[in-house]
Amino acid sequence: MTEHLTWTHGGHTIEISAPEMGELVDLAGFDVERVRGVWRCRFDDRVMELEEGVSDPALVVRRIVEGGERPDDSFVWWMDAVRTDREPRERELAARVQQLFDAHWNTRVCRGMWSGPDSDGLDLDPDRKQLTVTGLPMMLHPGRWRLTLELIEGALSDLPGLHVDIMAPGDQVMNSLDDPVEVSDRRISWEFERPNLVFALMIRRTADCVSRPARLAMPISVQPLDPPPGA
Amino acid sequence: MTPSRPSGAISGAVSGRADQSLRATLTPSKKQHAMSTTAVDLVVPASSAARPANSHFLRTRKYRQNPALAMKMPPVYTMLSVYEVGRKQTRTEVAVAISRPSTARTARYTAATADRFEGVEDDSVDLVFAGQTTEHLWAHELTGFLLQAHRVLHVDGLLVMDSPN
Repeated sequence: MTEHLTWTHGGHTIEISAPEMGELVDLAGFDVERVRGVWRCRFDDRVMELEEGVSDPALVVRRIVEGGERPDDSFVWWMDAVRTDREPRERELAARVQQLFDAHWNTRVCRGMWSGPDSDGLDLDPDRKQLTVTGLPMMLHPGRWRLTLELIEGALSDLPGLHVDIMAPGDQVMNSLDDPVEVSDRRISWEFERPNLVFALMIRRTADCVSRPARLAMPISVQPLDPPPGA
Repeated sequence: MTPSRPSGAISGAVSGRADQSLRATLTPSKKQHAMSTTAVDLVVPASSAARPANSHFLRTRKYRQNPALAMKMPPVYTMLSVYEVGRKQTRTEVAVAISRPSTARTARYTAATADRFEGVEDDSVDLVFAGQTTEHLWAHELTGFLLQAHRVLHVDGLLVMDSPN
């Protein structure tokens, strides 16, 4: 739901769904007793903005009341899980959590840049003289990271002046990615190091112009090369 | 996509909805749990109902309008608490990790990390509550948190969480 709403919080890693958390607590030795939703946002194939209709008391009540029975359609889920005498399946739990992070992390990184998993990429308009694409705030833990851009259509030579910065709010450049570690016609990777945990980071990509139509694959990949501290 | 607005028809009860069938089958101990975790069932007045969503929305909007604000806002306000419910009518609360604890006078606070509840004995608590917390954890912390919750809770103890979907 947060993805559909293009909603973000600079301190979040990934947000998972209630069914996904249900899988995790089962592996951890719990039985899910109850799941409820708070603030319905999805109505069939329509997604309402968080504040949409808040001036309409009837709609507000409806979003509250119906959200309770529809956690999957709500902005927040609430779960009660009962501890059983089953031993946690620790290895499977860790593997499933990592699987969820692998599945959701890049879409989290790219939130605000493109419309979400229903789209495979972002058209780079050749009519614009300068292209800037900025994501919403996120956080990166200390350590080394690799960022990779890949084109579905066009070639990197069609993007003169392509430049990627890791930005903090206030246009503060935290990492300016100058020397790629890997380049091909359609794919380019940089590595960078974050000395400390920084909240509300975002990525800014700029190109002077786009000489021919190009399409950037989404989500872009921003993967840690070092594990988070304490892992 | 520009979502269209559903009609405002009300299709459910407006007041608090206690799950009576569940309550009826609970042991006394679990009734206590249920009473302590019914907040999700409460329907608050319309004027304040959207505040949690509003606050998130406003924060996102502020980020977009003035990203410099994001650095001034405390990045994580989250609390992970372990309660011992009903023991001599007192409550023990261990605030774990990254956040500021509540100001409940009956609480005892212990700083620890989300994946290591130091100072909390095995099978010793009735309820672990993690409100708006798990979405702040890295993978190893989330795994560790669930394992620690299992360790400190006794059998039939309750793990309660809420999180953005």
